[in-house]
Amino acid sequence: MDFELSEEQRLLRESLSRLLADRYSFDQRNRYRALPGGFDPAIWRAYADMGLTALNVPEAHGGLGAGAEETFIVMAEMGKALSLEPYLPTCILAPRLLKAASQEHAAPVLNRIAAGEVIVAFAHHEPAQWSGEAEALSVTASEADGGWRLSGVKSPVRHGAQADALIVSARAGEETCLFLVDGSAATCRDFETQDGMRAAEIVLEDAPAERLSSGIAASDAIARAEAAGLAAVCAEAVGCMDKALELTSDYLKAREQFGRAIGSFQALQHAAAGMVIEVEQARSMALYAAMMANADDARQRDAALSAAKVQVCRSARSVGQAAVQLHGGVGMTMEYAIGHYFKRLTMIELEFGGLDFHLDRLSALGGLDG
Amino acid sequence: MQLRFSQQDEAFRHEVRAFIRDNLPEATRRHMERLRPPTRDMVVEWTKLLHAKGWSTPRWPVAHGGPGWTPVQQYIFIEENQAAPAPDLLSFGVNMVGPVIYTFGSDEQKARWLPRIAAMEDWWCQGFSEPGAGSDLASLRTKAVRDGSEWVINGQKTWTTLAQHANMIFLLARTDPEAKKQEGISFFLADMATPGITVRPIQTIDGGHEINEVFFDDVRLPADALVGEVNKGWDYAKFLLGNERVGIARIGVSKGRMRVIERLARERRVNGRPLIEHPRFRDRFMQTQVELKALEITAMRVLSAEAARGNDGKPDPASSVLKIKGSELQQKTTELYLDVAGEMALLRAGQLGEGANDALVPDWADAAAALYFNARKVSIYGGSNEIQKSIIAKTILGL
Repeated sequence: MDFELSEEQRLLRESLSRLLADRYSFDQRNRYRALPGGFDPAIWRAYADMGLTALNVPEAHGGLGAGAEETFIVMAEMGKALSLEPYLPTCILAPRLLKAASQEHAAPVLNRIAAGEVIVAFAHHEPAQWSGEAEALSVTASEADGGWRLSGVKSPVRHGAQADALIVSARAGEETCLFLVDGSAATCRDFETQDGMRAAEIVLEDAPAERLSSGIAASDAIARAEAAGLAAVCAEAVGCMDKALELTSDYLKAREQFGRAIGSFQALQHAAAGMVIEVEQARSMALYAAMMANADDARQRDAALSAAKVQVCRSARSVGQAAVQLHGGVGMTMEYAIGHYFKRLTMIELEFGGLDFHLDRLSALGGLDG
Repeated sequence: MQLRFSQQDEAFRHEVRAFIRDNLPEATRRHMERLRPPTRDMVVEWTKLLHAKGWSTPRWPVAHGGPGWTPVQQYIFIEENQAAPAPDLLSFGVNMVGPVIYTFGSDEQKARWLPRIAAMEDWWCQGFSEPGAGSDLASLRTKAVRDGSEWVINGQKTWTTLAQHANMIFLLARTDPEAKKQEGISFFLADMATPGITVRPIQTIDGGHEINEVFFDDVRLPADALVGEVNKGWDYAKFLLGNERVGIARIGVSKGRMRVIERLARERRVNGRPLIEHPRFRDRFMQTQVELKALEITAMRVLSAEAARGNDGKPDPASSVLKIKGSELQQKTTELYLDVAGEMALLRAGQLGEGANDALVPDWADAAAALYFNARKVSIYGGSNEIQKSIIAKTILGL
């Protein structure tokens, strides 16, 4: 096993890191956040120019077909910057959701994802449930005039209102299916999330749709997309925690009370050292998640991902809380960056299932091997 | 970055596992599976079997008789050995004084001691801590005074692990009382049979006898008892402690215990169903499994970084992370074991003669409380976890 970056991986990280250092300061981010769509399309273009939007798209569709390692690197860097773009749904979830679809439906979308020309959202969550089987889905699909129509409500849908295309999970009779819906065919209520991004309530009323996949193929595509998404937010959390630790450590050196830097006090040093341990444990499990996210054995894959999420949830909570505590009063303010890292880390805890969900799932799957 | 074990590493793991399975004496395996500390004879016998295979000095360079393993292979071997569970190699010899001798010792010292360490001909113990010098080890007061060609040692060491088994001790003693405290210390090797050395047992809260006080009264050592240069002993001691980067987490030990705990928790019924099906126990078990997996990968990352930059002999600050988390997990596994035993852990072991109280409780249960009490030591020794946190704050965060 080799955790050192290859030359190409180092280049990828450095170029993204440089881009974000130049164009994603905390103040710049606040400006992007205030834009109508909640992010700056010019940054999205810059990602596309770097090849980031093509990373997870198969080579046959203009993508790079890169590995889990590259996705880890990208998500960790984006986590450090608290990036606001719809990278996760468009570039990580969508390619997997489209995997089971026919060439006719998948190819045009995948090509446009790779080129950075389209924003895709995954409309899966429903107000009353988390992840689920057909019987739990309230959005229903019906076939009429040789086409499909969807009705029902999805919420919250990350970047739902900004999306050009929606991939929607729905029930057709007894089957779970995935559909492609044009963004303009849905009614969206757009709102800002706790972590500064956008999410929407999507109302579908006889919205025209193309069926991408159904039954086992659709369920498997959802499971694979969620596995990749979970691994991605774990990597993002590591980036967030790295930056939160760096900001906290800098603050401890700069802030003086009682005539000296507060970082000279042992109680605070030990709290900061505790953060280091949590971040390193989370990094290890985020790497494990990346390593296992594309595994074909669903039991092994899901057990590994649940284990990773359990660790990341616990680390995210403890690092986020400690970072705010060590910043004292300013940690409570919107004006300071640290609180925003805490907020994003907290939302990551909740995404793709929280601590209890994954501890349960890990148990049900019989734990980790060996 | 390639997040896969290489095929060579997987093959190596299988080779190690098969060798241990086929060669670990059955009585030792049974004893260790009941989570009891190995006896002196078990350690010696197993080490000699490994030595015959060329595996008793996993981390040593080939030039000194090591097997030439990569850091990852060294790790895999130690983890498999611990998880088997088989007796650990005696760290004081193979991981501590051995590397000091081959790095700083004279040719005569190398020729004399290294083969004996590899073959487990000597049982070494460590004379570092003193009643007044624990975390602040450099304040040690045991003196060594030059008298003709000999050194005369006076003082007291404590917490000396398994000194009752040892025929050799390596120790730090002050050779220049005027120098700054780190700069007046030297590193010596002594035969425990030398007149003036007395060992007094210390009984620990688990009821066991593992640690001792060792007294030095006008102990006369020959000139070649000194390792390296006079007054450089602190550097050698730091090298010795820093050399133990990854092993200190004892991940294999925790893994082996988790296997035993899982098996027992399936057998043990509480309120009519197996303990493993009780949600609160199961959650704590799974949580520990997750943290252990994370720590295992953290250890692999440290090894990967070491392989990339080459072993520079400097301690990696990440080893403090491994020490803290590794000790916490060792302790957590003993808590789980205690919970599995429940009330059956009430008995003190060994009251019906050697071994288990078979007649009263299952023969694994009376080790549980002793193990739990004993494991409190792991966050205290080898630089307490508070010392490790201060190291992290200083070396990683620059506070």
